[in-house]
Amino acid sequence: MTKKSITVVFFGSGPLAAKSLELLAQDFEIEAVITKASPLGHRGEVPVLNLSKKLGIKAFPVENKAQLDNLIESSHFSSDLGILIDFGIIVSQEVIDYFKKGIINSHFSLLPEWRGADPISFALLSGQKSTGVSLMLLVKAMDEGPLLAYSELSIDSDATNPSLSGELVDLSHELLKEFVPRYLEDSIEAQAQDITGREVSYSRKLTKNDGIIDWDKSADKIEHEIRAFIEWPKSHTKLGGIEIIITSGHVVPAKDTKPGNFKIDNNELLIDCGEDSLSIDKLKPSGKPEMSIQAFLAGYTGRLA
Amino acid sequence: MLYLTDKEAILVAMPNPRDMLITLPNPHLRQSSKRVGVITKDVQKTITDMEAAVIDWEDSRQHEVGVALAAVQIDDLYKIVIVRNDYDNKEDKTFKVFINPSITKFEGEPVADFEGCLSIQDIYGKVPRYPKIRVKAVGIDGKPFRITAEGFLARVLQHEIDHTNGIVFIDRIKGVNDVFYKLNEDGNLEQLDDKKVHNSRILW
Repeated sequence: MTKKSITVVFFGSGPLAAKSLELLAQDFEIEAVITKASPLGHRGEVPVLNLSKKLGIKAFPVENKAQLDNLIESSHFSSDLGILIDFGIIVSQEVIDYFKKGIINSHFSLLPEWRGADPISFALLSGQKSTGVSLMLLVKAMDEGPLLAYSELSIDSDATNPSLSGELVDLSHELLKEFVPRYLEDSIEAQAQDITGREVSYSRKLTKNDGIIDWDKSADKIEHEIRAFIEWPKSHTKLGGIEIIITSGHVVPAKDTKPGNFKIDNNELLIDCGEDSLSIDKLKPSGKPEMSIQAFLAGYTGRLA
Repeated sequence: MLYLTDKEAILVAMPNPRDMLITLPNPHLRQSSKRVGVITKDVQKTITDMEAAVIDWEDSRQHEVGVALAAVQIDDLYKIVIVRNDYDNKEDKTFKVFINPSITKFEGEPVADFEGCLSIQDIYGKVPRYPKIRVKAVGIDGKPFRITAEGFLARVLQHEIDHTNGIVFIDRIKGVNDVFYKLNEDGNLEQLDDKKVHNSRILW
């Protein structure tokens, strides 16, 4: 017996979308890729567009919701299903309804937790012990659709944005591979989001200013930021006139802290926070490569006065 | 004088495995296959050939997956069926073998859905099949086993076990309107004209 390959239209824009598409193309026939022409916050790169060319898949760049509506209205896609990952454009009901089986969004959190644009960073910022991936049927209200499947993933205490993203992309692919065929066969039912037992919360896009360290925050929070912001916007501060990016640190309990004050103690650089102190493990002085705190102190102690 | 270049000589000696497949109107497809007595080297050879035929066929088809095959489809009229272990993953080219398979129980109400056949090129039909069945068969190791199949796997096994009994899927929907489709070059299914289907000399 034979069957038609599962054919889908892929909606995605950012680097996580590109990684996901690369995996997806191994298991499904991708009829077309629809991608944001110039994704914001990704420094103008178009990873999905480049990958589509490499894979020989037809790609349609769109700038916004109106262009997406026009594209769908004027195109003929035979796929019954769309798959959307890290797309960055609001999708109208008309676009969802164009596909007989709608659009499945793989969202990188356990919904309804961390709805919105950046669920991975916000899971890291919160210090929570686990997050996950949800396969959601897209509805007009953002990130409120029912779930076809979800899976939990523990967050290691040293997880960074790229390490966690990589794990979530792989998990997302496992879920899509397993559940897209079952959904198309009508053998699974979508369930309301409360099935995950998580609380509703919202993430947003990070801004450049998020990267400026506010030493009034607790050391714990700042340590989370360092891991969440490591690719962008990066955790910046000024230390005795030297601009640095902190790439790794750990919390040291301290009382009566004076936020922003620092001391060098036994090859350790301790910065006081709103609560406890942060001991820097690795950093990048402006214009220099990343270095260990020992290397930094050896070269810069004199200038930190 | 007959003259073969090296390349042609090789082609003559080693045909594509998919060329072993027989298609309608070959009358063998409407004959019942014999039960396998002992699992001999010949049976193992048949299974290897069947697997090669499905994979080679799939490589020649852009929009389809080769899901399963019955031995009659390579013109070996024995009750042997192979089913892809993961038919949603073209990279997984492994199969499960069912020797002398039979259905011991049907459950639920038949559901119509698309199926196609390596022996009926480009035609798809909406065939009613039971959503849940129990199957008994003998494995490649000679040991009998039983499975309960649901959903698409239940459909696949009903299609293949029909083959071992000389029935092709179109026989299950003979004379029915609006259920025959053709797979076009773009991978889309287009409904076929029922008159043409019913009057076809190839299909019936």
